[in-house]
Amino acid sequence: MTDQGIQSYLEEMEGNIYDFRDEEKDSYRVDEGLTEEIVCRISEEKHDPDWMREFRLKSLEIFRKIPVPAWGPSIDGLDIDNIVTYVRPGTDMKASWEDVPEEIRTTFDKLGIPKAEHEYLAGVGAQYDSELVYHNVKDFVAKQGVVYTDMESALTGEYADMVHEHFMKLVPPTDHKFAALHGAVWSGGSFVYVPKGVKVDIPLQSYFRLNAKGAGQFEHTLIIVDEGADLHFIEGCSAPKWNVANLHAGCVELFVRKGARLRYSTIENWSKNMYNLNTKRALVEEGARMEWVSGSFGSHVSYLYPTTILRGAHSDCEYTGITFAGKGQNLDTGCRMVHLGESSSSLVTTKSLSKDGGINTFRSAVEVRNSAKNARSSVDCSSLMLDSISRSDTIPEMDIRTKDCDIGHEAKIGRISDETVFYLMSRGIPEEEARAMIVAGFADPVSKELPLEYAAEMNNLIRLEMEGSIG
Amino acid sequence: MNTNELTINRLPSLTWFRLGVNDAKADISGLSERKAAPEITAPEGVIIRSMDAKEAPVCRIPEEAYVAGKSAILTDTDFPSGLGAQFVQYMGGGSIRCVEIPAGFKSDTPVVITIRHADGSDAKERLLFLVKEGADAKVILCSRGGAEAGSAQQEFVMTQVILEKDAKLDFSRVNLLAEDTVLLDDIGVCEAENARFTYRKADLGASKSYGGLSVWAAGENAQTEIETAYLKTGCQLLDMNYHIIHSGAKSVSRIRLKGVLAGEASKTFRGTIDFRKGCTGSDGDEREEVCLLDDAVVNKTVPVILCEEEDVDGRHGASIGRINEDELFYCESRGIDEAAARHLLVRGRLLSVTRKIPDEDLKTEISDRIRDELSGPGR
Repeated sequence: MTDQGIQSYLEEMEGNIYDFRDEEKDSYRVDEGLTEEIVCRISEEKHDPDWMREFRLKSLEIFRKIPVPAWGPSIDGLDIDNIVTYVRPGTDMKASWEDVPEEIRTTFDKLGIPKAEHEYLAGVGAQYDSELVYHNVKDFVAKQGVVYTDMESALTGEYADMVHEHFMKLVPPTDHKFAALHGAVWSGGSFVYVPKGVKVDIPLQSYFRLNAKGAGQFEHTLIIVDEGADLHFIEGCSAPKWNVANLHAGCVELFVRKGARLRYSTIENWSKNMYNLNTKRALVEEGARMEWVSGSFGSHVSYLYPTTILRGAHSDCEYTGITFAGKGQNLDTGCRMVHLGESSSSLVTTKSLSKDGGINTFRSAVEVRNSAKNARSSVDCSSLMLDSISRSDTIPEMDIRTKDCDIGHEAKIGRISDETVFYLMSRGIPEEEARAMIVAGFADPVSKELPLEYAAEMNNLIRLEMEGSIG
Repeated sequence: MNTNELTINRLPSLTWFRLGVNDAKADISGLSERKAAPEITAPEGVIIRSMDAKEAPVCRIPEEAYVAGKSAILTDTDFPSGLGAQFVQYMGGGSIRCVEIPAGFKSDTPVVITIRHADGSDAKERLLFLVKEGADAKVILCSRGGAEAGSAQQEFVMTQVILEKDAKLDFSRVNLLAEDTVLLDDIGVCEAENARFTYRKADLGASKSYGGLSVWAAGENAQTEIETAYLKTGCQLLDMNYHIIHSGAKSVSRIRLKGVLAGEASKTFRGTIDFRKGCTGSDGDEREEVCLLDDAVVNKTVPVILCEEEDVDGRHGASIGRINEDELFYCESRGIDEAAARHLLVRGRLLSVTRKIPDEDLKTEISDRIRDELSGPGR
């Protein structure tokens, strides 16, 4: 990047390219807080079928009974009584960008979504606050029988039974407090069904934008990749920064049928006032493969641990993640692998960087049940401390209940080696650049798994974060 | 608090409760009035005396700046403890057996303390080792016997160690208790500048064995080396919580566990390396190798690193599963039949730790016990 290019990027980043706000012109919003009345009103607004309305109310009951987690970062700054759980933007869902109201369209233009759709995506869903404002799938993909639609349409349309059968079955509201909250007030999100044997060559993407101050976003993503099918799904998210807490408690449920493959990539760049309490889970059947690629850069507080249930024999999962915690951030991320099927395998590679007082925690669990004969699992996590006012913890757990398995775990934590910096400097590279190169190299195993555009963005982000890191 | 149950071995930084590793519960009801008195032999120069618990030394670890999700394990005891505050409180009061190693003392002859359970006796013992500046000593603490009167025996031992500047202590802890015995065994250590603490443990006996270890590497260049070998068969339970707190600059710690689980045995190991602000140049490394011999065993491993200092090097690793097929093949290719080869590899893994115990008779006894356990009915 040229100096001028870097400067321009820096200027953008100083305000944060994601940190621009639109005037709040929503057409409807519920009151702050969480009551039975609010839940009923959301249900009414969304024209829920009866079962969903009951499901929401039951979830609310569960939410009230489950305590706040006692093991992770503090979420004392989050008061659900101050959160608006449903904000409908001033438009319904459109299938053409031209039909989306100009202000909202400008937001997504700035985020590069229409351009990305044109250049390298098979379909796009764009959510603004609580509702999808745009959804489109390219013709050649639709002709293959691929369904990519918003959850509300799926709930009452042709796929209503399929949604009913799968909705919050992998992540029941009893799972934890914020799963219950999600069950009560969820809104928006996408439904994807890839028929048997269909291979979608280019990715689908959903982008979530939360504009409203003090609001929550609770989108639900349900993906079913049928036998022998193949899909890459990308999820992106951002929000402007407000001086009050915002909440994201989405839910992702992924069903990967026999012999299928699903890659689920996430670039999370929520603003630094966001409490990101998201839940993701995949069920992987015989001979199927699940791939998670996860980049966590934003949020004030994150609790994020994608879970994979390897139910089928020879099922397989690979998790690759990077977390970058800067000033004011406490990011608790990781994953959980549950081995049930014979000869199932999992591979976890994570990287985390802490800087400017940021706190990183890698938390994981590998559970190998007695049925998972010949299971294999390998976890490798590395943490880099970029200064001594930051913090980095790793808290992995392994629960092994069969003798016929091979389980390995490796973790290391440290700082940029002076010797390596010295070596690069002795080759004529300035110290600051040398450090940035080392950090980029540290992140490389993850960035190479990201789609090219996101990898470039991540590398730029690292370069910018390293600016002025000396002295 | 249930007075018959203690919550112990609390993980310094909590994780998901449903995993069941954040702490353990130990039943302490029915402690007999009949107490086994430890047998002690010591080389000349070592001072052994009683001390009132009220005079017990205080080494309170400073609080960390960041406490989210943490228990109060480190800040509510006056001395490092792995089993934790409830155990310390339970053991409080009465007298402490104090073993003082004078400044400059040096001997290869170990202080040997044996707690022998006979005639249904239990044990509740507090030990304090004061290792003065520049001293270099060895200690063997061995628990044996029990369950001879047909009822379950209990042994609760709380050990505290203070290592002054340049002091060295080589501590061997051996559990040869009989079946149906419950052992709660805690050790807390404070290390001053250049102090060196070497700890090895052979954990073979007891139906339930709870082990807590907490080392505060407070001084610059403090060195800690921990090795544990365990063999659990039948329905034995082993629950451990090891915690090394680095606050001295250039302090070094090594934790090595080699374990074998058979039958329906279950084991939980929590191992935490905790780098505190100011421990610049420190290095911590933790490894556990677990060999699983049967299909009904339960192994839980939680290797944790907590870090609030940039200039450190921390690593942890774990390897869990069956016997290495390549090693097995190597043995078989040398003419050893499969069963013998398995036995050899498993036993060798444990003996690599226990062979360092400075007592030939005890080493032989441990080796025989391992052999018997591996071929016994628990298998």
